[in-house]
Amino acid sequence: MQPSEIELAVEEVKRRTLASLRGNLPRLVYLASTRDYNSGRYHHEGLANRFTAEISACALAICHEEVFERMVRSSVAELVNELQSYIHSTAESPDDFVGAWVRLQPYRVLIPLDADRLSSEFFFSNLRVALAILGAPQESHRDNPRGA
Amino acid sequence: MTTVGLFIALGVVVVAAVLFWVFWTGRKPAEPGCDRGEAAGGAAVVLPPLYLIDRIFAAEDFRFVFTNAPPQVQRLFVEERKALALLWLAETRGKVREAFVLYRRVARRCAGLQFSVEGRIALKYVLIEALALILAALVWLWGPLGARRIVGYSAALAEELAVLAARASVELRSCALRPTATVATNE
Repeated sequence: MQPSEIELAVEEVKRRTLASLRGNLPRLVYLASTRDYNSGRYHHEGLANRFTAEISACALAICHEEVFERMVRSSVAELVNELQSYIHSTAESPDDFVGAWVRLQPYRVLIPLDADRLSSEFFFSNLRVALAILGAPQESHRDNPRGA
Repeated sequence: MTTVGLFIALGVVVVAAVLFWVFWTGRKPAEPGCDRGEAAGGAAVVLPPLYLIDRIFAAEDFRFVFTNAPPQVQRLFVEERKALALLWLAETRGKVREAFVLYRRVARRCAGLQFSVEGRIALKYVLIEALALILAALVWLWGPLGARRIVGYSAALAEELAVLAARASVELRSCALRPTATVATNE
Protein backbone atom coordinates (compact mmCIF):
# COMPACT_ATOMS: atom_id res chain seq x y z
CA MET A 1 0.00 0.00 0.00
CA GLN A 2 1.41 3.35 -1.07
CA PRO A 3 1.98 5.83 1.74
CA SER A 4 -0.23 8.89 1.52
CA GLU A 5 1.15 12.36 0.83
CA ILE A 6 0.64 13.26 4.48
CA GLU A 7 2.60 10.20 5.64
CA LEU A 8 5.43 11.13 3.28
CA ALA A 9 5.42 14.70 4.57
CA VAL A 10 5.51 13.45 8.19
CA GLU A 11 8.52 11.25 7.35
CA GLU A 12 10.17 14.22 5.72
CA VAL A 13 9.77 16.38 8.84
CA LYS A 14 11.06 13.60 11.07
CA ARG A 15 14.00 12.68 8.87
CA ARG A 16 15.19 16.12 7.79
CA THR A 17 14.49 18.29 10.81
CA LEU A 18 13.52 16.49 13.98
CA ALA A 19 16.30 13.89 13.72
CA SER A 20 18.91 16.64 13.99
CA LEU A 21 17.43 17.96 17.25
CA ARG A 22 18.46 16.14 20.38
CA GLY A 23 15.65 15.58 22.82
CA ASN A 24 11.89 16.07 22.77
CA LEU A 25 11.89 19.59 24.23
CA PRO A 26 13.89 21.16 21.36
CA ARG A 27 11.63 19.32 18.90
CA LEU A 28 8.55 20.64 20.67
CA VAL A 29 9.93 24.16 20.64
CA TYR A 30 10.77 23.88 16.94
CA LEU A 31 7.37 22.51 15.92
CA ALA A 32 5.54 25.14 17.96
CA SER A 33 7.66 27.80 16.23
CA THR A 34 6.33 26.74 12.81
CA ARG A 35 2.87 27.74 13.97
CA ASP A 36 1.52 31.26 13.40
CA TYR A 37 0.48 32.64 16.81
CA ASN A 38 -2.30 34.67 15.24
CA SER A 39 -3.97 31.98 13.17
CA GLY A 40 -2.77 28.74 14.76
CA ARG A 41 -1.78 27.45 11.30
CA TYR A 42 1.47 25.63 10.71
CA HIS A 43 3.73 26.68 7.88
CA HIS A 44 7.09 25.54 6.61
CA GLU A 45 8.30 27.01 3.33
CA GLY A 46 10.45 24.10 2.20
CA LEU A 47 7.85 21.50 3.09
CA ALA A 48 5.05 23.51 1.42
CA ASN A 49 7.13 23.68 -1.76
CA ARG A 50 7.62 19.91 -1.82
CA PHE A 51 4.03 19.07 -0.90
CA THR A 52 1.11 21.49 -0.60
CA ALA A 53 0.60 24.06 2.16
CA GLU A 54 -2.32 22.03 3.54
CA ILE A 55 -0.41 18.75 3.58
CA SER A 56 2.67 20.30 5.15
CA ALA A 57 0.49 21.98 7.82
CA CYS A 58 -1.16 18.65 8.56
CA ALA A 59 2.18 16.85 8.76
CA LEU A 60 3.60 19.44 11.15
CA ALA A 61 0.47 19.18 13.33
CA ILE A 62 0.79 15.39 13.47
CA CYS A 63 4.47 15.59 14.44
CA HIS A 64 3.66 18.23 17.05
CA GLU A 65 1.02 16.02 18.65
CA GLU A 66 3.36 13.01 18.67
CA VAL A 67 6.20 14.88 20.33
CA PHE A 68 3.82 16.47 22.83
CA GLU A 69 2.45 13.07 23.79
CA ARG A 70 5.99 11.78 24.32
CA MET A 71 6.65 14.69 26.66
CA VAL A 72 3.43 14.09 28.57
CA ARG A 73 4.41 10.43 29.00
CA SER A 74 7.85 11.47 30.38
CA SER A 75 8.63 11.21 34.06
CA VAL A 76 9.65 14.26 36.10
CA ALA A 77 13.23 12.94 36.13
CA GLU A 78 13.27 12.73 32.32
CA LEU A 79 11.81 16.22 32.07
CA VAL A 80 14.48 17.65 34.37
CA ASN A 81 17.15 16.06 32.15
CA GLU A 82 15.44 17.42 29.01
CA LEU A 83 15.38 20.93 30.50
CA GLN A 84 19.00 20.76 31.54
CA SER A 85 20.07 19.65 28.05
CA TYR A 86 17.95 22.35 26.46
CA ILE A 87 19.38 25.05 28.75
CA HIS A 88 22.88 23.87 27.87
CA SER A 89 22.08 24.05 24.13
CA THR A 90 20.91 27.67 24.41
CA ALA A 91 24.17 28.75 26.05
CA GLU A 92 22.14 30.92 28.45
CA SER A 93 22.95 31.07 32.12
CA PRO A 94 20.81 28.45 33.87
CA ASP A 95 19.66 30.98 36.48
CA ASP A 96 18.60 33.47 33.79
CA PHE A 97 16.85 30.76 31.80
CA VAL A 98 14.95 29.34 34.77
CA GLY A 99 14.06 32.85 36.00
CA ALA A 100 12.69 33.82 32.59
CA TRP A 101 10.73 30.60 32.13
CA VAL A 102 9.20 30.85 35.61
CA ARG A 103 8.13 34.48 35.06
CA LEU A 104 7.04 34.34 31.41
CA GLN A 105 5.87 30.70 31.22
CA PRO A 106 6.74 30.44 27.51
CA TYR A 107 6.08 26.69 27.69
CA ARG A 108 2.36 27.52 27.50
CA VAL A 109 2.61 28.16 23.78
CA LEU A 110 4.45 24.91 23.13
CA ILE A 111 1.36 22.69 23.25
CA PRO A 112 -0.64 21.62 20.17
CA LEU A 113 -3.81 23.58 19.49
CA ASP A 114 -6.03 20.56 20.06
CA ALA A 115 -4.31 19.31 23.19
CA ASP A 116 -6.88 18.26 25.79
CA ARG A 117 -7.09 20.22 29.01
CA LEU A 118 -5.80 17.49 31.31
CA SER A 119 -2.72 16.72 29.17
CA SER A 120 -1.97 20.43 28.90
CA GLU A 121 -2.29 21.08 32.63
CA PHE A 122 -0.19 18.01 33.37
CA PHE A 123 2.56 19.22 31.03
CA PHE A 124 2.55 22.74 32.55
CA SER A 125 2.56 21.32 36.07
CA ASN A 126 5.53 19.04 35.38
CA LEU A 127 7.46 21.91 33.87
CA ARG A 128 6.74 24.09 36.90
CA VAL A 129 8.07 21.35 39.15
CA ALA A 130 11.11 20.70 36.92
CA LEU A 131 11.92 24.42 36.86
CA ALA A 132 11.52 24.59 40.64
CA ILE A 133 13.94 21.66 41.02
CA LEU A 134 16.51 23.27 38.73
CA GLY A 135 16.06 26.67 40.32
CA ALA A 136 16.33 25.45 43.88
CA PRO A 137 19.63 26.03 45.66
CA GLN A 138 21.82 22.92 45.56
CA GLU A 139 22.06 21.19 48.93
CA SER A 140 24.76 18.72 49.89
CA HIS A 141 22.30 16.06 51.17
CA ARG A 142 20.43 15.92 47.85
CA ASP A 143 21.42 13.61 45.01
CA ASN A 144 22.29 15.34 41.74
CA PRO A 145 19.08 15.41 39.65
CA ARG A 146 21.17 14.49 36.59
CA GLY A 147 21.77 11.12 38.21
CA ALA A 148 18.05 10.21 38.27
CA MET B 1 -28.71 -8.47 63.82
CA THR B 2 -30.52 -5.10 63.94
CA THR B 3 -27.50 -3.35 62.40
CA VAL B 4 -27.22 -6.00 59.68
CA GLY B 5 -30.93 -5.70 59.04
CA LEU B 6 -30.58 -1.93 58.77
CA PHE B 7 -27.80 -2.23 56.19
CA ILE B 8 -29.77 -4.79 54.21
CA ALA B 9 -32.81 -2.51 54.28
CA LEU B 10 -30.69 0.45 53.11
CA GLY B 11 -29.23 -1.64 50.31
CA VAL B 12 -32.71 -2.71 49.20
CA VAL B 13 -33.87 0.92 49.23
CA VAL B 14 -30.88 2.04 47.11
CA VAL B 15 -31.37 -0.76 44.57
CA ALA B 16 -35.12 -0.07 44.44
CA ALA B 17 -34.47 3.65 43.90
CA VAL B 18 -32.06 2.90 41.04
CA LEU B 19 -34.49 0.46 39.41
CA PHE B 20 -37.40 2.88 39.83
CA TRP B 21 -35.33 5.63 38.21
CA VAL B 22 -34.34 3.34 35.34
CA PHE B 23 -37.95 2.31 34.66
CA TRP B 24 -39.44 5.76 35.24
CA THR B 25 -37.10 7.53 32.85
CA GLY B 26 -37.60 4.68 30.40
CA ARG B 27 -41.36 5.30 30.38
CA LYS B 28 -41.26 8.98 29.51
CA PRO B 29 -43.01 9.51 26.17
CA ALA B 30 -41.00 10.69 23.21
CA GLU B 31 -40.98 14.45 22.85
CA PRO B 32 -42.91 15.73 19.84
CA GLY B 33 -40.79 16.60 16.86
CA CYS B 34 -37.95 14.18 17.58
CA ASP B 35 -37.01 11.89 14.78
CA ARG B 36 -35.22 8.62 14.28
CA GLY B 37 -32.03 10.50 13.59
CA GLU B 38 -31.80 11.55 17.22
CA ALA B 39 -32.50 8.00 18.36
CA ALA B 40 -29.45 6.95 16.35
CA GLY B 41 -27.22 8.93 18.79
CA GLY B 42 -24.55 7.08 20.74
CA ALA B 43 -21.40 8.88 19.65
CA ALA B 44 -18.60 7.55 21.82
CA VAL B 45 -17.49 9.81 24.66
CA VAL B 46 -13.71 10.16 24.91
CA LEU B 47 -12.29 9.75 28.40
CA PRO B 48 -8.86 11.04 29.46
CA PRO B 49 -6.20 8.53 28.27
CA LEU B 50 -5.18 5.82 30.74
CA TYR B 51 -1.46 6.58 30.36
CA LEU B 52 -2.14 10.06 31.73
CA ILE B 53 -3.78 8.59 34.81
CA ASP B 54 -0.74 6.33 35.30
CA ARG B 55 1.52 9.37 35.10
CA ILE B 56 -0.49 11.56 37.46
CA PHE B 57 -0.42 8.84 40.12
CA ALA B 58 3.08 7.54 39.31
CA ALA B 59 5.02 6.60 42.43
CA GLU B 60 8.23 6.99 40.38
CA ASP B 61 7.73 10.77 40.21
CA PHE B 62 7.03 11.02 43.93
CA ARG B 63 10.20 9.03 44.67
CA PHE B 64 12.29 11.25 42.41
CA VAL B 65 10.99 14.54 43.81
CA PHE B 66 11.28 13.43 47.42
CA THR B 67 14.86 12.29 46.79
CA ASN B 68 16.10 15.20 44.71
CA ALA B 69 14.15 18.31 45.69
CA PRO B 70 14.08 20.54 48.79
CA PRO B 71 10.99 20.53 51.03
CA GLN B 72 9.33 23.56 49.41
CA VAL B 73 9.52 21.91 45.97
CA GLN B 74 8.19 18.66 47.43
CA ARG B 75 5.20 20.58 48.80
CA LEU B 76 4.68 22.28 45.43
CA PHE B 77 4.79 18.89 43.69
CA VAL B 78 2.22 17.31 46.03
CA GLU B 79 -0.15 20.28 45.61
CA GLU B 80 0.26 20.16 41.84
CA ARG B 81 -0.46 16.44 41.67
CA LYS B 82 -3.44 16.82 44.02
CA ALA B 83 -4.92 19.46 41.73
CA LEU B 84 -4.31 17.26 38.67
CA ALA B 85 -5.89 14.23 40.34
CA LEU B 86 -9.00 16.27 41.19
CA LEU B 87 -9.10 17.67 37.65
CA TRP B 88 -8.92 14.15 36.23
CA LEU B 89 -11.73 13.12 38.53
CA ALA B 90 -13.92 16.06 37.52
CA GLU B 91 -13.30 15.47 33.80
CA THR B 92 -13.99 11.74 34.05
CA ARG B 93 -17.19 12.30 36.00
CA GLY B 94 -18.33 14.85 33.42
CA LYS B 95 -17.62 12.50 30.51
CA VAL B 96 -19.28 9.54 32.22
CA ARG B 97 -22.34 11.67 32.94
CA GLU B 98 -22.36 12.75 29.29
CA ALA B 99 -22.28 9.13 28.11
CA PHE B 100 -25.03 8.16 30.50
CA VAL B 101 -27.30 11.09 29.59
CA LEU B 102 -26.77 10.40 25.89
CA TYR B 103 -27.65 6.77 26.39
CA ARG B 104 -30.74 7.65 28.44
CA ARG B 105 -31.92 10.07 25.77
CA VAL B 106 -31.68 7.34 23.15
CA ALA B 107 -33.19 4.62 25.35
CA ARG B 108 -36.18 6.82 26.13
CA ARG B 109 -37.15 6.78 22.44
CA CYS B 110 -37.32 3.02 22.27
CA ALA B 111 -40.37 0.93 22.90
CA GLY B 112 -38.70 -2.07 24.54
CA LEU B 113 -36.72 -1.71 27.74
CA GLN B 114 -33.75 -4.07 27.89
CA PHE B 115 -33.59 -4.56 31.63
CA SER B 116 -30.25 -6.36 31.75
CA VAL B 117 -28.45 -3.62 29.80
CA GLU B 118 -30.32 -0.77 31.48
CA GLY B 119 -29.68 -2.19 34.93
CA ARG B 120 -25.99 -2.80 34.25
CA ILE B 121 -25.42 0.69 32.95
CA ALA B 122 -27.37 2.31 35.76
CA LEU B 123 -25.55 0.35 38.47
CA LYS B 124 -22.13 1.07 36.94
CA TYR B 125 -23.03 4.76 36.83
CA VAL B 126 -24.06 4.80 40.49
CA LEU B 127 -20.87 2.92 41.41
CA ILE B 128 -18.69 5.38 39.50
CA GLU B 129 -20.34 8.36 41.19
CA ALA B 130 -19.82 6.75 44.60
CA LEU B 131 -16.16 5.93 43.80
CA ALA B 132 -15.58 9.47 42.59
CA LEU B 133 -16.70 10.86 45.95
CA ILE B 134 -14.45 8.42 47.82
CA LEU B 135 -11.49 9.22 45.53
CA ALA B 136 -11.95 12.97 45.98
CA ALA B 137 -11.96 12.51 49.76
CA LEU B 138 -8.84 10.31 49.63
CA VAL B 139 -6.98 12.79 47.42
CA TRP B 140 -7.91 15.72 49.66
CA LEU B 141 -6.86 13.91 52.82
CA TRP B 142 -3.81 11.92 51.72
CA GLY B 143 -2.84 13.22 48.29
CA PRO B 144 -2.80 11.23 45.03
CA LEU B 145 -0.72 8.34 46.39
CA GLY B 146 -3.41 7.68 48.98
CA ALA B 147 -5.92 7.03 46.21
CA ARG B 148 -3.71 4.97 43.87
CA ARG B 149 -5.24 1.62 44.63
CA ILE B 150 -8.76 2.46 43.55
CA VAL B 151 -7.82 4.87 40.76
CA GLY B 152 -7.07 2.09 38.30
CA TYR B 153 -10.34 0.35 39.14
CA SER B 154 -12.31 3.61 38.78
CA ALA B 155 -10.68 4.46 35.46
CA ALA B 156 -11.37 0.99 34.08
CA LEU B 157 -14.99 1.16 35.28
CA ALA B 158 -15.49 4.57 33.67
CA GLU B 159 -14.04 3.25 30.39
CA GLU B 160 -16.32 0.23 30.61
CA LEU B 161 -19.39 2.38 31.18
CA ALA B 162 -18.56 4.72 28.31
CA VAL B 163 -18.08 1.77 25.93
CA LEU B 164 -21.21 0.00 27.18
CA ALA B 165 -23.34 3.13 26.85
CA ALA B 166 -22.00 3.89 23.37
CA ARG B 167 -22.52 0.30 22.20
CA ALA B 168 -26.03 0.15 23.66
CA SER B 169 -26.89 3.48 22.02
CA VAL B 170 -25.75 2.15 18.64
CA GLU B 171 -27.74 -1.06 19.08
CA LEU B 172 -30.84 0.93 19.99
CA ARG B 173 -30.59 2.63 16.61
CA SER B 174 -32.60 -0.20 15.11
CA CYS B 175 -35.19 -0.40 17.89
CA ALA B 176 -38.86 0.39 17.42
CA LEU B 177 -39.59 3.98 18.37
CA ARG B 178 -42.29 4.73 20.94
CA PRO B 179 -45.52 5.67 19.14
CA THR B 180 -45.93 9.48 19.09
CA ALA B 181 -49.71 9.04 19.52
CA THR B 182 -48.90 8.36 23.22
CA VAL B 183 -47.85 12.02 23.58
CA ALA B 184 -51.20 13.33 22.26
CA THR B 185 -53.18 10.90 24.50
CA ASN B 186 -51.32 11.95 27.66
CA GLU B 187 -51.82 15.67 27.13
